[in-house]
Amino acid sequence: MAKLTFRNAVAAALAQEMERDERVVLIGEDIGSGGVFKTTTGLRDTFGPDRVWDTPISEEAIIGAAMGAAMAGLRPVAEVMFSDFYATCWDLVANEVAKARYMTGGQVSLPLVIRGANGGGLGFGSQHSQALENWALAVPGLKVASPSCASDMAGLLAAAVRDDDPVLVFEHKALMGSFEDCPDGEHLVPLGQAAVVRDGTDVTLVALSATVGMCRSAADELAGHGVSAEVIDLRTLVPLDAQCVLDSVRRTGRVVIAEENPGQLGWGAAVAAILADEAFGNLVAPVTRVSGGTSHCPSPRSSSRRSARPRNGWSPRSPA
Amino acid sequence: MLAEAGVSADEVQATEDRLRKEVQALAEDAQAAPVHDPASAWTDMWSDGSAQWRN
Repeated sequence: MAKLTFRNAVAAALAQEMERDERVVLIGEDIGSGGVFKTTTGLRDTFGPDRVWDTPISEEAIIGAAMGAAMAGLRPVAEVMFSDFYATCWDLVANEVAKARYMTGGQVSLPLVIRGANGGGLGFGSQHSQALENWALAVPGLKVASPSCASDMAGLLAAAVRDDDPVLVFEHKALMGSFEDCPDGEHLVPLGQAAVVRDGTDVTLVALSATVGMCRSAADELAGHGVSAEVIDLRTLVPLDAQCVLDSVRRTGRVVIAEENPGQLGWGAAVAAILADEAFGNLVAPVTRVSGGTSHCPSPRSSSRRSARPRNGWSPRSPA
Repeated sequence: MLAEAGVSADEVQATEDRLRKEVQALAEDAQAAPVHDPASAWTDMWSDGSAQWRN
């Protein structure tokens, strides 16, 4: 077992896949020097500039080039430095990358991964702090992964590289420095397989990415009050392991969904709708969502205002 | 625009006549062909089932 930080897990997974398959190439801003979050450190030294391509500051160019490379037979991993910047290249992602397989009747596949730093709470301001998995969730044709720990970061990213369809991987900035024992050797975590990270019998806490740790803490607190909480890490939104959530909620009868994105039509709304459709008879209390709220500014620069956000000081008693 | 580019009216008319005949022939072929099996409506819509976003 090797102890890796979340950011080192990104580099380890990319190195594993680049070593295994010479068609895997990287493209993005400043990635040759390790990237702004140091998630690609050492890869250009190891694999050379022909496989680690630095680009100008243009997300459209990055995604367009990556899409073309994927159509031509490579397996590119593109980096959008902050997921907020998907807004500048969303036409390519949502209208071209996501639809190429549909529009060609399956004749063209895009084995393409797009990575981006995601989430708030670190003082990057409102244009560099959003949790945006729900944007991708709204576009059929995109797979969506958002890992919560270093081991899953490595395993899900490797699985994404091997997938023949486009996968967006959201890497939470607040987790970059967290570390964990990761398995030695080849490591893969299948897309679409949620993890029950804590067993419980009274309530199900459904989480993704950074909210997994929050839910673990909440479960610890609840245990002190005699409440047994089960915590589910969804790992991926597409494919969504709805069955894992349904199985749990059918046992516990209660569910709290913890999501970082704004509450209006966040991914938790999709999960809540599934529960309403398929587990209504098992619920003994209303489905509850705890979200990033509905404020216009997704993450204030001010630390005092930021500390009032659900990311910090979140508890199961917080309002949705 | 075509005239300005040096294409004669006869050439334009000949091209239009040829294309009309081609389209007419294709339309007649399609109308004379048997109705497709309804099951084929899903052919080439999606190749690998990835449109299923949840289990």
